[in-house]
Amino acid sequence: MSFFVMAAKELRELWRSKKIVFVPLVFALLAVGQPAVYKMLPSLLQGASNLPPGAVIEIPVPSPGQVMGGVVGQLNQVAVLLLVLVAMGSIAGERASGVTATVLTKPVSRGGYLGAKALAFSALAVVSLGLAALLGGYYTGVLIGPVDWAAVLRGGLLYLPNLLLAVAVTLLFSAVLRGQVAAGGAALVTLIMLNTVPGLFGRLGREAFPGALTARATAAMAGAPLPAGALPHVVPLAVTLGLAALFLVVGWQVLKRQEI
Amino acid sequence: MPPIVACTDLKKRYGAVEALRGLTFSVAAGGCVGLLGPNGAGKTTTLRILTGLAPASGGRAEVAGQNPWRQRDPVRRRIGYLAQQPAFYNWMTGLEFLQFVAAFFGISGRAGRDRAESLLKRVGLWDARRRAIGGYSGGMKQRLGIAQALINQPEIVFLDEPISQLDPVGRHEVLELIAGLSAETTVFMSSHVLADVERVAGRVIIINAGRVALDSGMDELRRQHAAPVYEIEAQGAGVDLGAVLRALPYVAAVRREGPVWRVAVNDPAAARARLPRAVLDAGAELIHYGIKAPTLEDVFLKVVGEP
Repeated sequence: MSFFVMAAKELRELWRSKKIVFVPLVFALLAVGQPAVYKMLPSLLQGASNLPPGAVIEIPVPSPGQVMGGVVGQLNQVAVLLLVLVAMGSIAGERASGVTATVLTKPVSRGGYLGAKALAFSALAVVSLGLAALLGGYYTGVLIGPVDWAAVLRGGLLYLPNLLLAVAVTLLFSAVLRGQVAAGGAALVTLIMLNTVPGLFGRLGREAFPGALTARATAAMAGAPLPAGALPHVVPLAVTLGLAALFLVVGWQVLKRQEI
Repeated sequence: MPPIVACTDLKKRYGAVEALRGLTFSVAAGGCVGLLGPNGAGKTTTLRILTGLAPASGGRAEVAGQNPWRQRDPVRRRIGYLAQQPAFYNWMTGLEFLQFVAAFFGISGRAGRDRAESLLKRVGLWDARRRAIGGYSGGMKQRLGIAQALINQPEIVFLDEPISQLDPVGRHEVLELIAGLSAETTVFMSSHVLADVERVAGRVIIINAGRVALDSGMDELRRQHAAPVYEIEAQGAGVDLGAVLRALPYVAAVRREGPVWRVAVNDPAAARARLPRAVLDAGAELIHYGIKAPTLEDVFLKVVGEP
């Protein structure tokens, strides 16, 4: 019961604060920028250089799939940062303001309190990624060439768990740490480590952990098949979603024992 | 009838600091009880434990027969709480916030709106009900805080310093509200504005350094501490009148209010006979001398010692 009341409030807050508008907008701008840059790159280079008249710049025209793969690369840097920034104060900030004490002296389970926030920010991630994929795909189709929408869907679904993981890690640190900036910083460091450190530990680390999903999503967008002998997609998907769930459970347990 | 609040040897420790050192008291249902104490005495800590926001480090706390930390949900269904500095979602309107908290108690839809509206009228925020809380004044937030604490018609409402941050008009309004509340539910309020507690509470519990220093009904308190307070105004170059008065064996506490010294005594007969002479002997010139009934503040200072 309290979960649904909190979830409705979180979604309403996303709307009132316009986060549900500007976060998808930033995602969409990043996605749309990719085909536009690819399309205009030759003329940009031509205009920016002092080549003699008649010189020809030859840049191979990328495939629509490659452009969509580039969209994943663009999102991977800025989108995760944006989600962390948006979610880092959701518990730490409320606790600092004192509103947590007002809410948690009502019959609200701390699991419901955290779960509602996880649901709202996950919904924000889904909407933002969905809009980015749709607009990125549309403009790639207009500017570069026909897009394989099934590949876009596959790539999007492979990339989404990375965003859900970012939400879970940020909420964990927002629950654990007192300051929202500290929570955001700790979340970013943890996400960078989760994406890089396992790669140092052999094939399983490279293929099964969250970092693998970005590369797989890029390849899937480009329509490239899974290389022979590679672990199936379900492995990094399960590991990433499992880690996200684990971080939320740890956050819940911390919150449950925490003095407000 | 079992008490609505019972604390037995309640302890709370923050690292090396002992905030509560074995607090024991109980509160029967009904009326208004004031929890008094100097800053750092443990008032807010006590309320945080009783509302389930913090666990006790030792001893036992019970609200309506249940442990507020371990049985959070059933306890919270029966209590209301106003924090010392009430905070809200500032983007919500007053009406939205009350409907939001009502929904946690299963009061939603038309019933939730009706309940929210009746409380907004009661606390005098009807005209501001559609304004964002971020634009409310401190007094309005305090009143909204009281309204949200009453949303579930609680058996007991805990108010942490509900009047300390208000201007005189706001204080008067909120005190009227609290006085009305104590007729329908148990009010347990902490405060250091003693005169205000005196106006609404039927009983006071004074805590000092984490322990109960005094627990008494207000009438009983007045009877027990009926010894008058002596008011002295004097002048004399180089005379430290405070030190002179404190050194007298029949003086219990000394407090300065502007030019006037208020002297609580433990031997009224001795004080009456010797106090004016003691002032004059110290080399001061007596300007005013009077005997007054003690206020709660005088009793408080006598119980907790002088600051």
